[in-house]
Amino acid sequence: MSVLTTPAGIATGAADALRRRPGADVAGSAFKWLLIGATVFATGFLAVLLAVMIVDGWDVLSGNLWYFLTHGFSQRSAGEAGVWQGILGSLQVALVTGLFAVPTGVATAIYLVEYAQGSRFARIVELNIRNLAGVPSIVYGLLGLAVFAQTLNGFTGGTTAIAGGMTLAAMVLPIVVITSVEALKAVPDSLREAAYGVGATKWEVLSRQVLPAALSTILTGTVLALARALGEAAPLILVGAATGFMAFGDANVFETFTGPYTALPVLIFNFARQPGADWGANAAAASVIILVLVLAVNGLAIYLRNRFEKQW
Amino acid sequence: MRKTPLSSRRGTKLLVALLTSFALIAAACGSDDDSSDGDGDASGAAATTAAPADDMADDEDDGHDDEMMESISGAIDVTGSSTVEPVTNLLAEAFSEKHPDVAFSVAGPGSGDGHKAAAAGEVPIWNSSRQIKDSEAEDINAAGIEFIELRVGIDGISVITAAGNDSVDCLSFEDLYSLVGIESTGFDSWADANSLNAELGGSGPFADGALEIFAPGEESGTFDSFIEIALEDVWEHRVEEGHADENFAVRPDYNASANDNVIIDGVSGNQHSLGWVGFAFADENRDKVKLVEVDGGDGCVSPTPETIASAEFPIARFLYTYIDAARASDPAVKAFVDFMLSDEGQTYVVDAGYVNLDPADLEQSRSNWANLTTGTTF
Repeated sequence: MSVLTTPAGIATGAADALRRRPGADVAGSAFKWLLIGATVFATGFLAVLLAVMIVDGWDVLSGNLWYFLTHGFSQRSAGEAGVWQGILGSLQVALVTGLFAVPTGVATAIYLVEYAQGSRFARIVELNIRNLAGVPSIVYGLLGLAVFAQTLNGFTGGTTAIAGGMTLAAMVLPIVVITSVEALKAVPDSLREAAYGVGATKWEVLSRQVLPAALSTILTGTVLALARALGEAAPLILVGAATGFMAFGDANVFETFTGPYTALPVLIFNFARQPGADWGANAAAASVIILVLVLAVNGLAIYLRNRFEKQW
Repeated sequence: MRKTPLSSRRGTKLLVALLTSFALIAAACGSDDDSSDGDGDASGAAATTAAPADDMADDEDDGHDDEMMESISGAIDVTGSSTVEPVTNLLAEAFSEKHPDVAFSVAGPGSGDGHKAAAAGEVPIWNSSRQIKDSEAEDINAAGIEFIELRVGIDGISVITAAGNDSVDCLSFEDLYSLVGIESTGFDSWADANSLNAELGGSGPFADGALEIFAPGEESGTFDSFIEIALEDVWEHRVEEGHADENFAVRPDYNASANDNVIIDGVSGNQHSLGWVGFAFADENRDKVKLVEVDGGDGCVSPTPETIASAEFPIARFLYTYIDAARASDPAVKAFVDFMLSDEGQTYVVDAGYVNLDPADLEQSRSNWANLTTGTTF
């Protein structure tokens, strides 16, 4: 590969050639600077946001971090409040979300691409799923309250981490389906044809060729969907997440899934509306923590993609 | 390719198997809750051994038999008003230290959401920063749920100025609107407000002085309550007449702070300042600020715990807690409400920045609870 000229190499060469004649490609360089400007603007926002959160939350992050991470909510004072219930709740909700959204979403995508490809039914389903991806999260909160918390009360236990997780699963399901569909469509047909050509069954083609080839993209998509679920507060507040004091009582690890729950974004919502700069610092510190959590999940996505990525 | 239809079916079978096994795992998680959901079990079991009313009356006036009920378990979910939520949080925190086996969850989406959740049978206890509306009570009753109504405290708001300011003693709602309402935007001195004050029929003219206003920001419940109680009537009237903006009741150009200490410092540091904070906070700082009398239409009243508790002082509202009567005998719910109405429990109302009820109202709440009186009683 290295001795061949890659397309990127050709492009670089062409750019070098242009640079020797200044002014020859005004539109091109103007566009380039526009793109650079947009990038700086976008990352600048993120940097400012991050800086503000770290500065505001510095008292907690520098002096009180361990206490903050290991204690539950307290109304008594900002200094006595912690976020461990939020971290635990977010992880529980994300686990339930993953358990429901990933198998269902990937299975739907496999059916749409590999079995029903091109049929009228598949086209209608795909179109609807794409539209569902644009529905505001609060609407999924209402759905979750009506369906998962109330109608399926016997299964979810009411307003619990399971109901919250299923609500977020419904919310991210379209994202999982769409990314998985794109991943499967990106697998070249030549691969399928070659496999069929040597006598492989449909199952063998799917399980040995297509799915492994699409795996890295599917993983990236699903992990990004989970990262989005981690940051949601509005649907969970509707599905009964505790904004205030919470205790598990004598519940064991499994029973906490069917008891009261909360999540990091919900705690941030509470901290932010309490009076006083101390509570603001808690909100900022909790925001930094959720950002670290989401970055870790995204990092995992990047690692998995690099680990499983296939080149044709 | 001849094999495709057959293997396609096999693939589908495997897919179905995969989904089925997943559903089984999920079901296993779910069945776990049937055995552990203390809420349902406890209320079911307790219903058969419902304590007679006289038994409850014994518990009602003393909070100190709690230590004997160490083994209580179960689950309590509380939702409703975000204004009352801090009181419930403090109560729940103290209660949990005594009864660590009780699962607890407190949420504060809003009073209306609390009544809706109650009508859906989701919670045994819910808070409201206003009395339940008839329509809400009908919805709850229509769901087969009877509720017990308790007053738990009072949210009083004090209008304050600097401790040494002798030029203002009493302000009416019209005066307050002409000083801090949306139409006062840009007024730098008390004299600026005089023409608007005269138009509204206020108690002016005011003695002149630089007008500096310090008050909670709009994220605060105190801000909302102040608008609802003191400004809203005048403001809505002015909106109807086409004088005032229909979106904002309060002038934007004042010193907003979420920190009550900042408000107290600002007010005490400016001779002709004006501001408002929760009563408990103003009361603690009487050396720095002067608590202005307020005329809500029935004459000037000075804010004191007594005038607030008796509703003579006009900028105050009652805070309510409602209980599902069918779950009142749940051991955890019973112990918690007993604790809430105990003398110790009532101290948390003040800790959260509110005012205790007057003895007659507290007695009414306690007797509602002891006799399991349903429906609105206040």
